[in-house]
Amino acid sequence: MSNPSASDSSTEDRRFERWIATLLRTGVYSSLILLFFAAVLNWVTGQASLSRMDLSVLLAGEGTLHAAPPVNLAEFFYGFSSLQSMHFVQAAVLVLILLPGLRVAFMMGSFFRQRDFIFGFLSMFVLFVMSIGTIFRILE
Amino acid sequence: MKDLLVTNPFLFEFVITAVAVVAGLLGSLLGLGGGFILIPFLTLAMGIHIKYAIGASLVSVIATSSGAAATYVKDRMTNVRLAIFLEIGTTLGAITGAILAAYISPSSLYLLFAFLLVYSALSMLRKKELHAMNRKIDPDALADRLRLHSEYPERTGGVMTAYRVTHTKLGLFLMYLAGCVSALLGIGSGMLKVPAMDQAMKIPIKVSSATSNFMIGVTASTSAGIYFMRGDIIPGLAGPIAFGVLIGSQIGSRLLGTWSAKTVRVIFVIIMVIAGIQMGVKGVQSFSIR
Repeated sequence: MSNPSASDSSTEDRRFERWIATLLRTGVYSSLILLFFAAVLNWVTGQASLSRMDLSVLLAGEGTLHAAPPVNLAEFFYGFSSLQSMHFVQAAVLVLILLPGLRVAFMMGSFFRQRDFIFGFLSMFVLFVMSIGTIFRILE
Repeated sequence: MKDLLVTNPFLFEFVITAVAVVAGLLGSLLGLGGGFILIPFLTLAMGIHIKYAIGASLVSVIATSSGAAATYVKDRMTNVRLAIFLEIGTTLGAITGAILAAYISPSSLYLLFAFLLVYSALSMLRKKELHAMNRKIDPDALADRLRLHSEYPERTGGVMTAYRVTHTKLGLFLMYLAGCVSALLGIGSGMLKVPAMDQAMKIPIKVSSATSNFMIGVTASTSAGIYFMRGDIIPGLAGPIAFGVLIGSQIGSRLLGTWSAKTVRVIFVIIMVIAGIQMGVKGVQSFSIR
């Protein structure tokens, strides 16, 4: 974000960039830990994330599988507490899907804090567009 | 091989994780999401339905992008302001693509994928590398107003080289197309974003790669949310792939500063052409079966 004509803001820019890097890295490592934990659970319990039946459907090229997302948080946390690896994988996938949105939200906040309103509103618009698809899908 | 995998889910997970490591490594080196390797592998070699391949690939694309982007931002390779500006185009395109995906046949998707692979390879092959300072840059009032011009280190930790951004409106339109293709095919569409920034907007290729990587996650996340809600992201498939891709992208992002632009381009072209031919054959076969 540094600009040759605005060297006085370069320290702020560097800090901003470091925070973005930290946010992304934290999200990625969280996801990695969840996936690793799921793999360990699979190894301990001797059960893979995909059942043989689902795997045979998948490898047959059929499009009939449906991975229903958790209906509510209670179902999600139940899966965690009962150490079901599938829920850890699902959580890792969710973290990854949400991470770019979090990054844009963080950037929006930072731009507004720096009184860079044009980019604050541009970030807000990007965040809005990102959520449109999911919101409409939920409303269907 | 496939018969062996059907009866052994652990072996299946191991194989797709290993391939994902390679895809993540190359994806982050080339500023692509890794989907350009994963989709042909999952559909052609594994026979998996393309919608699940796309769903899994989108998750891996986010993983690659986020993993590598953290390093590039820290190394000052990424133009963060430019990324936010262009993300307007990519997210709007991703929404369009995710809606269109429900109406387009798999065989058409294969052919579109094949065309894009070969096109990207050829456009990269034609391109002549120019030093950032030697490029002829047309003045661009919008880029000036938005302060999109910046600087980057040609080698990690090296001296900063200034560059200017041009043709921002054209770039925004190309990003819309790239976002649309990303949602349709489950790729990061870095294969379109990198040439668009590099050639149309005259941004140095390393900055183009890093900024493309930064944007890819946002594009993919926009459409991945829709695929997730549709139930087309199979966690048992997407999880191991994301794991492998994360590992690969971490290795790849550390190599970028040490690889020359020419080496990156040669790898890009070879992989694109091979995968493009394979996807084209699959698309034609699918049409003839119908």
